[in-house]
Order: sequence, then structure tokens, then C-alpha cells
Amino acid sequence: MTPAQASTGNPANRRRRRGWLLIWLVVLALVVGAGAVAYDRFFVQTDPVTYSDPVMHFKYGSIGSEPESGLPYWMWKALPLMFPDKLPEGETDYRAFGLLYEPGRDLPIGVSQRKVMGIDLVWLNCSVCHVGTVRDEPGGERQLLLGAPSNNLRLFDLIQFLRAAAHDNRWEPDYVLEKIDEAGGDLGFLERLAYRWLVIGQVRRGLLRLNDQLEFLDRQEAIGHDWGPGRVDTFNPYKKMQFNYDMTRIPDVELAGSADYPSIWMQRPREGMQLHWDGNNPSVEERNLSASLGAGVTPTTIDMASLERVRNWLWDFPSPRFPRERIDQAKAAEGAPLYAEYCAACHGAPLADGGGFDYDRSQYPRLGEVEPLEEIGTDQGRWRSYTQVFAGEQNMLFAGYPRPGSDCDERLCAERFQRFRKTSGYANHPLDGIWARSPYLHNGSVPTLRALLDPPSERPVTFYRGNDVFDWDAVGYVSDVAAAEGEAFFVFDTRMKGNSNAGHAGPTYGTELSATEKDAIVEYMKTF
Amino acid sequence: MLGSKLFRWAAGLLLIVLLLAIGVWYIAFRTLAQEPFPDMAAEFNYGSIGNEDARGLPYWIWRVLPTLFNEYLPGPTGYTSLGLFWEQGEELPVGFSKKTVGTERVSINCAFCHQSTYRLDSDAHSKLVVAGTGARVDPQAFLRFLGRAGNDPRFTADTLLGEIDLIYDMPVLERLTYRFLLIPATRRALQQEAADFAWSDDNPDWGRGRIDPFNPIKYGILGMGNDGTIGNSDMMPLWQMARAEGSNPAGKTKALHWDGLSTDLHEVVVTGAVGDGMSYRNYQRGSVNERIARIEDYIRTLEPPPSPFSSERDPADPFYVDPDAVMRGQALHGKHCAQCHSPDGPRYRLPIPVTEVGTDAHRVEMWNDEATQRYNAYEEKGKDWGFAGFQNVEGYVAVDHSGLWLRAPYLHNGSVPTLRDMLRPPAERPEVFYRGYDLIDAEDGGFVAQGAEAERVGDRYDVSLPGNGNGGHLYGTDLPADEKEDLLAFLKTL
Repeated sequence: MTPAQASTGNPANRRRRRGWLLIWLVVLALVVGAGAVAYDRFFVQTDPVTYSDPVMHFKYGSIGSEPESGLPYWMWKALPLMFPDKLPEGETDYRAFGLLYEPGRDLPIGVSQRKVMGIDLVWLNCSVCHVGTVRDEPGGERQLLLGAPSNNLRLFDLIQFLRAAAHDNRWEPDYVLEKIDEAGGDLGFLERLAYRWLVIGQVRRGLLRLNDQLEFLDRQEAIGHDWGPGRVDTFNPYKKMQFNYDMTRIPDVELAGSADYPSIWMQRPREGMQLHWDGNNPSVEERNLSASLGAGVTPTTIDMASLERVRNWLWDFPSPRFPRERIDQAKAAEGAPLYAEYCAACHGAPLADGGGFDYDRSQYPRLGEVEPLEEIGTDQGRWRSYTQVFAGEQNMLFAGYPRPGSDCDERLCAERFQRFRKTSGYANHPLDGIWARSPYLHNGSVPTLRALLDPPSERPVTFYRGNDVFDWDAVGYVSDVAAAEGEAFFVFDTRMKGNSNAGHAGPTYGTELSATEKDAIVEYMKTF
Repeated sequence: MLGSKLFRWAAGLLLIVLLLAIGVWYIAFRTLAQEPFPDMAAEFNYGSIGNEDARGLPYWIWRVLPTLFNEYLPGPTGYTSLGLFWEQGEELPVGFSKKTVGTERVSINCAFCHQSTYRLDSDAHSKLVVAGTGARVDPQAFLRFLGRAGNDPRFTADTLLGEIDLIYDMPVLERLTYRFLLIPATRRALQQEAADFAWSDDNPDWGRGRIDPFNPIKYGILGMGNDGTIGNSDMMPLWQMARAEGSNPAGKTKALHWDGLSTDLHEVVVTGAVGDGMSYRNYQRGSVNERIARIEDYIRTLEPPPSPFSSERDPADPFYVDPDAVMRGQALHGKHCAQCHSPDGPRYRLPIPVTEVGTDAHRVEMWNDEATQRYNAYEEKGKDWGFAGFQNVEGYVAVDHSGLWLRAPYLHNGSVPTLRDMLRPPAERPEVFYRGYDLIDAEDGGFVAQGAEAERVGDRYDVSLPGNGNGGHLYGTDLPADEKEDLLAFLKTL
């Protein structure tokens, strides 16, 4: 009989072994628990930079685009230094692409920060596309227009810069770390190691993937369809990035889809109207989720609480007022009945008591409805870029959401898309703050309100976009200046694909009124 | 003591086995009923036909396959590139159902092939035709897509779950099931399907709107050898199927399928589901056989959409037809077509001998006595389905002309693109055209089959390929030109 065999029969030994077993189980449970907490903390949870002020949140808060789409903070800082030759002449940072830097802020408006797996990442939020600027004169002070269409952002150029960077071989860790230092990087020893062995390679692979996905931008450039400042092609990148469509087989007619960024103030009264330029969705929530995908979130990384804050803030956020002292009230009063006759049925009008805009669709029967192409006659590019089959496949987005147990009565939940549809034309939008939404028409092909009231043959054939000095008379950004303060503005040629300035014309659109009458309507629209 | 120890071991083992069995049942077999459908069209389009265990793809695999393997699809988009229609708000395109069998699974149903679309203007939206001709659908491309994806080295748990992670926060248990069970099992199943479908590479492609429906049955459940035949034919609309039941005015038993290989609508519906993977065991479930019965009833009376060609339209409208021409055409139809194609004709719904009609013989050669006997005697794991309506006749069934404007391309193999071409002698019919564009050809009747857009969205059809012959059916081809115009005007309105 061996001692081991003997011990099995001994009750005291058995008790002692049970005691040990218990201790081991507790230790195991603790280790597993600690591991799970650490895993959750390090791999699952992310840590955004947050702001209590809703305006700051709108400008700099994270909606969850960083984990999947973002760049490490120091790579973001270093990229312009790594590839200065790929920036426009004389530019050294992201101002080259129209991003706006506020005094004392290190990241531009529209770029948020979030710590993911111990690394600070940055990427885009809503405000990158939805903040405009305006100035009285060249060199004057820039006034921010929150919620207005961005007039500066050159997203096309930013993407092309990132793609070009991917195809450049200056990615040796020594070079990159040197540029990070140059950018003021204060990487610790461990972070340096992480950048050297992991981060740099990952970023380049990510940019190479972006390069492949958005290769069709070269095709757009070849057909003369650079989006230019203040415009974006929403749905073609969407086709590729959400569904991996084979863009080489998407026909040219679908590729001229760029349109102006829209204003995003006063969303409450817009619920139920046909939203987006072609009116492809009547739900503000769904449209918001869709736009967030465009900013780089995914259904798994989206920060719904953050998005809800932005949404609540925009719900009743008013449009900016045109400077009162610049309005000729008598002339505006003359314009009011003309506007009522020619424009209001489709676009709504200000309330008579001056208390804001009237979005009442029972008063204005065509407001928020889609105008068929043959009726409106504006450029077809944007309408063609959004297809019936794509609308169908969008029904898969956010499948599996809301998750069981989400408290969707209390807080905003993401939900599978069900309201996207292909329409027959372009939607009539309310004109609140219309002065701050130039250039006009969905594709931004008409520089001023006054030009929009002229027949297409008299509208400018080419003009410049990207200048934020304002023409307070014709209403719209100054568009006849080629360059100022060292910046060459973007030549917008209405003869190129997707850029036509035709349509929205004829007796019922007011383009055949007298010059005085048109001036009066424009004066009146300054009060919106 | 030894006995009780043994007992305890045995009890423990039994418990483990039991728990395992419950677990396996839960993740592989637990079946939940689908939500009720608002109407019969929705039930037809999205209802399960009890084939999930055989053909159902786990939802999240189905969801990411087109994204990961887009290059294996026949067009630039996702599942829609297969010619499937996607209604606003619907989670799946028409022709797929989603049902929980263990996990949520997506599988095809009758509507996958039996759906179509049309538009009257190139810029108009496509409109869905429920249980239509399948003119845009490419079932072979779907099978190839699945086979190629399953054989692609990227079909791994890492790649698939990596893609799923981008769009869905999958719970841990579900993730483990996907990683260790569903993804490997799906890969094996797709590879097996690809191997079993390899024979079709020896034949000309089906192309959009067509299928070789019975060779897969012969080489599959009937256990017959590959005989090299080609059964490529158009998919058929399922309208007014009551007209295909019973005896025709001459007292002869009506036949179904292009080659008349069946005489029984009920069997056609059931074997259709069997072909899509419905098992005998599943058919015994009320939820399945009641649905099949409802579908059968639904298609008995389902009407095609009315023709847009009309004398009521503005004479400048491309879809206007001259009322006098239509009236003259009706008389011509009575004289030259009605005998075979009108429900009151003596040869209605009968197979016309291939020697008489003269159309491409491949499809009738595909079906034979042995297949007939085997299908009538078909037993699944010892269970006799009791089929009795299969027959082997060497001819093509003269089908109904209702919804004729949507039935293009014409003849059983879809070898003649327009109604006008049908009235031309074979030598003058187009040799090459494109199938799959859903724009109605207002001039010639049928779908637009030439031109840049037809080429972009359609499949090239070459009448010189085996099974694609456009000969035969000379009826009306020798009419004088003005009579042809009259007949055409009438045919467009059907």
C-alpha cells in the first residue's frame, strides 16, 4: 500500500484536499475575473475625449468613428510633415483641405479624439462637413456658421492626399518617428516601440486599403468631376465602403454624384420631409445614422449616446441671422408677395410675426416633397448616383439592431434601415438660413440667390468656389475672384459632368420676372 | 461500493451526454416559426418552404458573403446583381426567407426564380411582378457564387468573423457557434455543392432568366449518371395555374413544365420545393405543408399585371396600340394561335410534338423514361413521396398567352427576344442579343435586348450554342406584313 493510496481513505486528508481545491478555485475565479475586466477595459471599452458644452461636443466630440476608421493622433500630426510634397504649394497642414482650426485648439473642427487599446486615435464627426465660415472682406475675421454647409472642406483632396501617402515609400519607422518628434510628439519608450513595430505598419495598411476602396476617385477626376470645396459624393464611396461594390463596373453616369453639403439646423420640423437632396429618406434618425456611417462609424463602433446629444442639440438649433443692418426692409417688403407667389408653395416661408420659419406643410403643399426630374430640370448626376438596388441593399445596414434589452424607450437606439427609397427627382427643402447655404441648387452650380433667379443661360458658366468673403447684395460667397491671400480658389465649370446649372427655371420659378422684382425677392430672402 | 461508483460515473456521463444533446439541438435544430406575413404576396416572397436545414445559410454568413466575395457575383452590386428585387424596408431581397433553425438562417424559396420586374421608361423605377418569369434572375450565378466563395481560401472563421465584427456585436456564445460549428459546416456544404454542380460547367451557361431545372434532380436525388444532356430553359411565371389543371377542351390531360413532364399541379409545387431542399420530414410539419398548400392556392388564381399597351392611351404614347389593328389582330390570333394557346383551344396545355413545332430539341431530350420512373417511385430514406404525375413526352407545351408582354424572351429556351421576332422566320431572328434588362420594348413587344444598357446589365445570348437554337414555331411567320402588325398589336395587349 503506497501513502497516496492510504490517504484516499483518510477523512482528514480528504478534507484538506477539498480545502486546497476550494482555494485553487477561488484563485482561478479571481484570475479569470481580473482577466475579463482587463480585456474589457483594454480591448472592448474605448475612451473618448468628452465635452460638457453641446457646441464643443458638436465641434470636437466623438461619435465613434475612430476605432474603425481613425488615425493614431501622432500619425495624423505627422502625415503632412511626412509628405509635404503632396500638399498644395505653400500649405503645411490640414488647412490645405479646408479644415478649420480655432485659436488654441490643436485639432481642427470636425476631428474628434478617442483612446482605443491605449492609443489615442482621431477621426471625423458631423461638424467637419457642417460648419461654414463667412467674412466681410479679404483678410477679415472669420465668423463660424455652425450647422451650415461647409464651404471650405475639400474632402476629395484630403482623400487623394491620404491615398497618395499610402503609395509613397517614406514609411520607415525612423523617418516616421522623426516626423512625429518634429510635430511635437512626446511618445514614451513603450509607445515608441508600439509605433515602430505595430502602429506605423497598421496605418499604412489601412491607407492602402482606403486607396483601393476609393480608386474610383481617379476616374471621377478623369471625367472632370473633382468634388471641389463644399461638396461631397455621398453615395459612391458608400457603395464601396459599406458593400464592397465593384466600382470599376459602376457606369460613368452614376459617378457624377457630388452635391453640396446641406445645412443641419432645425431638424425637428424636417422629420417626415423627404430628406437628402433627392429625398431618399423621410426619417431624421435614419438619415443621421447613415451620415454617421459616412463619417466613419460602423454599427459596432457608433457612440449612440454621443450622437443623441448632437441630434438633440440640432433638433431646434436656429439658423444664423443675416446682418439686419444690411437689409433694406422696404425692398424686402416688396419681395414678400412675390416670394409667396413663386416660391413658398415648395419652400415654405418665414412666419408673418417674424418668429422664425414656417415649416407647415398644410400651408405649403409641396414643401418636403420630391419634384420629378422632368419638372425641376436640374442636373441629373446626383439623382443617378443613388440607385434602386443600392436603396434595397441599404436595408441590411444596422441589421441585428436594436440589440435585445436595449432601452429604446429611454434613449436613442440604432435600428435597421427601412426607409431608404429611390425617388423620381429632387426634394424641396425649407429655406431657413438660405443666405448661408450658397452656392445654390443641390450641386452648388449657381453662386448666388440673385443668379438663381436668372434663367440658366444668364447664370455664370464658370465661377470660383472656396472663398468665404460674402457678397451681401447678390447673397452668396464671392465667386468672381480667382485667388486671394495666396489661396487659389476652385474653378467650378458648369459644363462638366454633374455640374450643370440648368433647371429650376421658367415662369413658375420666377426667372422671367423683372430685375427689380428679382432684387426684391432676394432682399426678402435675406430675412429667412 | 464499486457498483455505486460505477453508477455515479454512468449517471455523470449520461448527464453530460444529455447536456451536449440539448446544446446541439439548441444550436442546430431549435426551430422558431416565422412572423406572420401581411399578405400572400409577402408570404410567397419571403416565406420559408422548409429547406433551411438543407440550404439555409446562417444569417451573418449570408450577410457578409457578397461583401467579402463580390468578385464572384455577376454584377457590381450585392445580391441584387443576381437579378433579385429588393423592396423598400425589407430585410431580405425577394426570394430569400429567414427562419431560425438552430440559428437564424437564410434560404431560397419559390420566389427566388419566380419573380420579375419591368419598367416602361429607362429612367423609371423597376416594378416587381410577383411570381413573374424570373427574366432577370441568374440562379446559376448564385450557385457558382456560393461554390466559389466556399472554395476560396479566405472562407475562414477569422475572415468571416472579422467582417461580421464590423457590423454586428456578436454575443460570445453565438460567436463560438459560428467559429467552431457554423462556418466550418457551411464551408463544407458549399464545397460539396460546388462539386455536385461541376457538371454544369460542361454545358452552355444558363444565363439570366434560365435554368436547367431537372438535370440537378436527375443527378441529385434520383441518383442518375451525368448523361450530357442540356435542359436549359426559361423559368416560368406562376400565374393562373388553375388553367393548367385537369383536362383541356379536347378532354386531354393538361401538362405542366415546358416539356410537359408532369400532369399534376400539386406535385409540381411540392417537387419544386423538394428541388430547393425541402425534406420529407420537414414537409410533414404543418407549418411547411400548410404554406406549400397556400402557395399552391395563391398561384392558381394569381393574375399577371395588366398590359401597358392600350388603345386608351394618347396616340403619341409609345404604348398606344391602334384599336382597329387590335381587333383585326384578335381575329388573326383566333385563327392562327388560339388552337394551342387559348384556354378554349383543343390543343391548349398539351405537349406539341417537337417534330411538329420544330423548336430546339435539347430540353425534351433531357427528360427520359428512366427519370420518369425514378421520380414517380421516389422514396426519401424509405418514405415514399407517392408521386404519380410524371411522364415523358417528346414535345413542348403550348402555354397561356396571359401576361404575354412580360413573358419575353420567347420560346421555351428564351431564344427569341421580341414578339415581332417571333413572327419572323428563324433565319431573320436575332442571332445574338442580351437578356436581363427589364425595359419593355414598346416597338416590338418584349424586353429591350440590344444596346448599351442591355449589354451592361444583361447576359449575352448566342443562338448558335447547344440548347439555344431559335428555330421552329413558324406559326404566323408567313403572314403578310400588315397582318403581322395587326397580330403584334393584339399580342402586346395580352
